[in-house]
Amino acid sequence: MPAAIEAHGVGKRYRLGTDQAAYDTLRDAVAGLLHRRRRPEQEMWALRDVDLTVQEGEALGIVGGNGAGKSTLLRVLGRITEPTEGWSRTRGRVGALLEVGTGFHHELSGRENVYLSGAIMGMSRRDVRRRFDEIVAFAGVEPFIETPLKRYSSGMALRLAFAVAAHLEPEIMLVDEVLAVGDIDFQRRCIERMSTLSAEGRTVVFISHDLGAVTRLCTRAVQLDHGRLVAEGGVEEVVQAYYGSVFQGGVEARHQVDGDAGVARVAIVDAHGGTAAQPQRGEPLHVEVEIVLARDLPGIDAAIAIDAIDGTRVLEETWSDQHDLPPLASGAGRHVIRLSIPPLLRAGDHLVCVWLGTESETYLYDDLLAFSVLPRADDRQEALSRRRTVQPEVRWQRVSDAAPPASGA
Amino acid sequence: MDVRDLWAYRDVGVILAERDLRVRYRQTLLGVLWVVIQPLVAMVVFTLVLGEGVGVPSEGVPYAAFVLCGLAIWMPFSSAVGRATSSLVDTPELVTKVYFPRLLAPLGAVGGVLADLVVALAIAQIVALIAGVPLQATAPLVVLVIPGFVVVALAFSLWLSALNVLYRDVAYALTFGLQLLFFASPVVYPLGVLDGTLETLAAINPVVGLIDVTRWALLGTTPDAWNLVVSGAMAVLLAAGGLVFFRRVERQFADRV
Repeated sequence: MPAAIEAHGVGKRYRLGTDQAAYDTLRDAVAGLLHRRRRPEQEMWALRDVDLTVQEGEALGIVGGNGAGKSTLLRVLGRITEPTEGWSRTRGRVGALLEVGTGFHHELSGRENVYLSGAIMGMSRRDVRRRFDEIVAFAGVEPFIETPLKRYSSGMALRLAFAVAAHLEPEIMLVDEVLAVGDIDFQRRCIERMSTLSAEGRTVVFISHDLGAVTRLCTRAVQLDHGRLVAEGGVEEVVQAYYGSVFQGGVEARHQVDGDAGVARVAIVDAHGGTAAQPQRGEPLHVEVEIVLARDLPGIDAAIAIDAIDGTRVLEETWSDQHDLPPLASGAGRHVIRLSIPPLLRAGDHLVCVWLGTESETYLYDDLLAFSVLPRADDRQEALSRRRTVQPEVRWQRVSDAAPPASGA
Repeated sequence: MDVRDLWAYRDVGVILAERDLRVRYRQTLLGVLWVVIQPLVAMVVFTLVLGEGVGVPSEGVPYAAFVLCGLAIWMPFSSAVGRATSSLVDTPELVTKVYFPRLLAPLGAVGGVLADLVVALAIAQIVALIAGVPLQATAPLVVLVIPGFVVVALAFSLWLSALNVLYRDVAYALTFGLQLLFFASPVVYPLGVLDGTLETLAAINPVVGLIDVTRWALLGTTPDAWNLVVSGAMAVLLAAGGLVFFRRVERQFADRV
């Protein structure tokens, strides 16, 4: 059977600074010609030497950290951008749902956009008409179907985009991070719909930070790191390896800092600042972050987020959220900050994700540490495996005992 | 180039053209009437000022009919080029998120103006009759203008839409450039008023042939054959060059829009 997707030696190079950003006007281009020597071109390979084969009917997950090249790979596979080197080819109609935002025309109504998407996926109007009601019902946008897309909320547009991509019978479906937006119920329906497609023998390629969803949906996975394919195999195996390679599990992680701002160390510490033994549920948690600034960065702010291992964000707090504090020190050098979290996390694996940036720029946004919250000695095994996001201290109380049946009835 | 790809995705072009047509007159008070009003009002102004006032010659036919034939080409032409130029940069959410042959964007924009062209040509014929020009045996041949219009519009649109993605200056230069081209084209005057060298030079403008053929078909004027050849050849050359250029740079579009 021929492969649904084939990519060979795919590389995608982006030029930084000079060509990409600065040449937006002719004047800059002319100036660039004159000064080419003086401005060395900075290049970045978002993808390099990627070989990939996806068989028909296969569901493939792509995992990797931020900037690993996942989205770029999907754009190349979907023919949205051409690779700088190598080639890729797909067989069959492609339905693509890339990043947030949708491939819709904002001046067209919802209805017109459904037909446009159908045409883009190579379907006749008659075929689109046949699925139309189903699409609108899935997206839940009936009252707005004649409204121009520019008046849709981003959530509505996304729902319609997914509905279109998933119902117009694509032979290949490419989905990138769609689950980052949208409510839980919609996310669940998306996963279900993709499972159905996959079960019907369609080819699905899926990117998500939600590794739980990747594991449930996909049979095979590949891992990208700095644009290169570093692991390939069964989904469980690759997802596990991904944790192993990217996160140093434990209570402390050290990182290389390059660029203007970064984090040299993330650690779970005890109340006195010493590195903690494994944290336990029911105890407060202190996360310490050592920020390194190469130069003065006024307006710098930091955020710490804790994600459960299935991708659920448990909390996300920025330094500036706390109003009784002065702004984060912005001078060059090392700054250590600490976030104290009340007893909240459930027993199990978690990730610490750190963001560093200003209002206009992001210097760092990445998962930096994986750690485990241990159960308490008296926790029953069965109680650990329940579905829950947090596990704070709760109290049961008896309000009344069984009363005797009301007399005189 | 991949013609099969273009054919497979033809519906995208059709929808883009329809959309252009609909969006243009949505939220307007007079709607489609604009297609009729614009050339007629322009005709009245030019006839009063240039025809009656200055006494610009009009190849032996009433000036009103003469100028309206020119406007019937010029107005859809400038509208098509303007729309096509911004067709790629106006839809970043399409160009960066889904695949379709990018040629369909300028093609759709030009296609969306064809209805305007047909209406404008019909009005030109009606006004010619009212002005006393007898119905020409060549009148049905005016349909030849439609494919010619597509080639001429693409001769400009392919270059400009692709360049506009690379350099946003194009959008600024466009209004000015079209204004100059208007005066370089025989819309409000016949090319014959220019002397020898200047006339030959003016004929390299692809719009010249289109307007001359329209006047020949509807008004019975005799166009200069040499001008037609030069102008037509220029249109085909520019369109072919534009196609090559467009294909060469289209791989960058998704990264640049």
